[in-house]
Amino acid sequence: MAAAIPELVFKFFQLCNLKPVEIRKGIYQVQIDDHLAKELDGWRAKARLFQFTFDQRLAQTYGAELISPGSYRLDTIVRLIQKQAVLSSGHLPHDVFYEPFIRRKILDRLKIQHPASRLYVLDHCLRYGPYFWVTLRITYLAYEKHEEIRKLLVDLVSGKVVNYEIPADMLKPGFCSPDLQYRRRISFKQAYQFLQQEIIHELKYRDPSWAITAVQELAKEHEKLEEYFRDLPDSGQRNLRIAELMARARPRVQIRPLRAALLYLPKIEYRIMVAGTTEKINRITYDPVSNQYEHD
Amino acid sequence: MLDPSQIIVPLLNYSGQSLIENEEIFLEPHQLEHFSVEFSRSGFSRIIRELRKGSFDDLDWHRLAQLADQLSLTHGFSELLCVNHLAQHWQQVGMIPYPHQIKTAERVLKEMRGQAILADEVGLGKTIEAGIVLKEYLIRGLVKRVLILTPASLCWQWYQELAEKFQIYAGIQKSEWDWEHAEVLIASIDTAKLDPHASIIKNIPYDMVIIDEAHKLKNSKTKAWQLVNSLQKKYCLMLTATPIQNDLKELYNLITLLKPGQLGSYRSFKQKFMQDLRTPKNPGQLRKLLSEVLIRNRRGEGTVQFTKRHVYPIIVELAAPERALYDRITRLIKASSKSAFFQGNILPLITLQREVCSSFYAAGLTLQKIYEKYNLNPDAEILSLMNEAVNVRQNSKCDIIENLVSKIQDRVIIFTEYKASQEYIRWRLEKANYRTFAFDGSLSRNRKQWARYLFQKEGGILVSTESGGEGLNFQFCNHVINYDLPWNPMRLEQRIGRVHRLGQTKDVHIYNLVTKDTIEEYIMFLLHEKINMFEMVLGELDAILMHLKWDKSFETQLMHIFLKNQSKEDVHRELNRLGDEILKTRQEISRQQWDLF
Repeated sequence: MAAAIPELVFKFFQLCNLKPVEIRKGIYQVQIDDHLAKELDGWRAKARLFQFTFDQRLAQTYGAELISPGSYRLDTIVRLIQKQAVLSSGHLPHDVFYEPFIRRKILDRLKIQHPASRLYVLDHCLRYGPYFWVTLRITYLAYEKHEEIRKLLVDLVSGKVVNYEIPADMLKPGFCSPDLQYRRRISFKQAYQFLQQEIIHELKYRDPSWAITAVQELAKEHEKLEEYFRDLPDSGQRNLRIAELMARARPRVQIRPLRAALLYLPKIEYRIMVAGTTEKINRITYDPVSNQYEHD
Repeated sequence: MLDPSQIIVPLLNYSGQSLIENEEIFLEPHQLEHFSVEFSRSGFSRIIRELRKGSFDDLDWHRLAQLADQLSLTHGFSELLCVNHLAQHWQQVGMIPYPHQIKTAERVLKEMRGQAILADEVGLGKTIEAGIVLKEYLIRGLVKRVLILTPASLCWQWYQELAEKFQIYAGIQKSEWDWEHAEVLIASIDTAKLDPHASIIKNIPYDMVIIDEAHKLKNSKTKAWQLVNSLQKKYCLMLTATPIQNDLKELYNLITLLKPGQLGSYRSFKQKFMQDLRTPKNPGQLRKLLSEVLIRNRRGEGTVQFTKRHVYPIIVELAAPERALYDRITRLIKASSKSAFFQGNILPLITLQREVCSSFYAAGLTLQKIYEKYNLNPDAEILSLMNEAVNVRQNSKCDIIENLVSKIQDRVIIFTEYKASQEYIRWRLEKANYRTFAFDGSLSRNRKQWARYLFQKEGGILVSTESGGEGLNFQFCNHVINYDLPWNPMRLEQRIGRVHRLGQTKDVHIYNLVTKDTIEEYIMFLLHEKINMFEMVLGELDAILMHLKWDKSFETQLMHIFLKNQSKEDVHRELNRLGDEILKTRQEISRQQWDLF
């Protein structure tokens, strides 16, 4: 992840409409205004010329602020960025995909199912499906804490949770034309419930050894406590101490939605004539992101 | 270093909202076979609020925030995050954590899981260790709400240490309102244990409680012990240099307060580990159990080598008029101690006897107070002494100080016990063209900070009284002049401790001005020659004196010796006896501590 730090920092300044200047090899300088200074360092901070480097040696030699894994400055930037973009919107335009190629692929697949028929596309229509793209932090807590980030998509029409990578760099900001949108059929609250079900399902099949170890250690501590309180009448104290032990050591997984985006991802509807002994029009909706299609 | 002009007040979260209202809310947990799964409701509500407002942020920020989310993840305690986080800040403020401090913090986090007694010998930086642990938990988001309980005199020092070294801006508790509105709060344990405070804080779920000077919680019947026992605390650190002071029951009480059940019930503890109150049984097994919750670092290899102390007793010969006045006042004190006026209360006499060794101006003021309080007749000797004290124009100690300061040519702290002496010293030094700073109990915290800041930045001479010296450290200075000697060795140690502590990089030079053929000479004999207190480590004497459990204060003990014994030999004999008692206790304490930790 260390390699991503310069990218993060430069992108951050770019989005703040600032352009750091490299004043010496590896040392950058940027003028930050009062507002940004306060956001970064608290209300006492003032506008200043901010010098930074990603190299510890240069930081020591020239007194520039070091931005490296775990450094104070990286933490302040990361925290500030994390406060942004609780909710965003975007869409993936159709032109990212080459429609004739998709058409060929669908026809090839249908050919396998209907080898004796002739297949041809009557027409096609470009649409967008609404998706709820949620970034979640999953925290595994016992005596220690481990975290991971998951990004999941909920199809707001079908309620399906899909967990494939979307080409985030190709997303365009804002919404697509309302005429091209499918209508959202499920609420955001339901979408969150579907996400919960999906994650619980995943966690059930994950390696639980971390939790088993924690349960064993917790049991030992619990036994000590019970032994101590056996001869003592004060049950209030016992409950308090057990509650503290649980807060400290009980294995649990906490899931926090950090941010979300309402995305419109492309769908292509095809009407395909299957002509054999009989003629039949097949309606197929193709999802180019997941490379899956559905028959009506 | 903090710039005092930047310090406004210790900050509390003055949003007006109780912190409990800001806490994250989770949905009903789902129980799986080995663990539960909790989904945040607050996090989702935040997103829904934005949806309702229809406020969508730029997608570029979204992508960047996702990258930031990845970078902010933590994975176990494999390495201390705060070391990197604070590296540059520490460089700026000149703090280098010692390896034993880092190791201790790692042990507390990894092995002791945030429940530990930090029992390093005095001066090894227990506060730093606690600060590292606290910062680490804060960075990792495992701790949000913290309560630090200390003796009242140390609240400000804790505030400073946390702000200066760890960039943790705590609040100092002032009112009942503060308990529920500060994320990190420093409070006096003596305030906290009383109602209505105690009943408020018992209901607050703290993530972490830190207790300084935890040896004061040795008795389970005290309000302080009961308060700490009743607190809801996920993690707890207790700091003490003397986990055992008297007996093993105290140790049991302390450990049980931290981690009930660690030593079993008291009955089983007695059976397994106590031969008698002061002698442990099965020390190996007990040591093992203690090592699970208690860390004790000692001076020497692997920890800290303090710089040397050089002590210079400087004998001051009084000039003839000073000598005559000293003798007259001493005679008056001895005579008065037997008179009806002072029966049962020799405090004014102790004060006078001490002041007369400091300066006649200080003594003159006390004589005046005695004269007014006891309504003495105008021809009483006190009145003539008072006039004589004011008229003595010579001060041999100040002559020596001027000479000494001119030779040192560096920052110097001059300690005196009396405000009158302080003013006189400053007047003399200013007259000799030295820049001086006053430092005493009458100054507000901010003014003290300011004086300290100027003294550090611009150099000069700081003339401090005892009370002013408490709670502030001056490691940037390494010359201390004791203009007068306090009778209580603890006060002398506190003076030296202001400069001779962690962070001091130079040898410390201590100049003790001792007036020849006065009570100061006896004190010097006891402290320097007999018990060799200047060689003792910081805090050791504190432990010894607490262990001794005298019914009289050290000062009163000394005064009784001086008043009861007329000849020099008798006084020496009695002081020898007192010194032997102290040395014996010192040996006893060190044996107890070393056996178990």
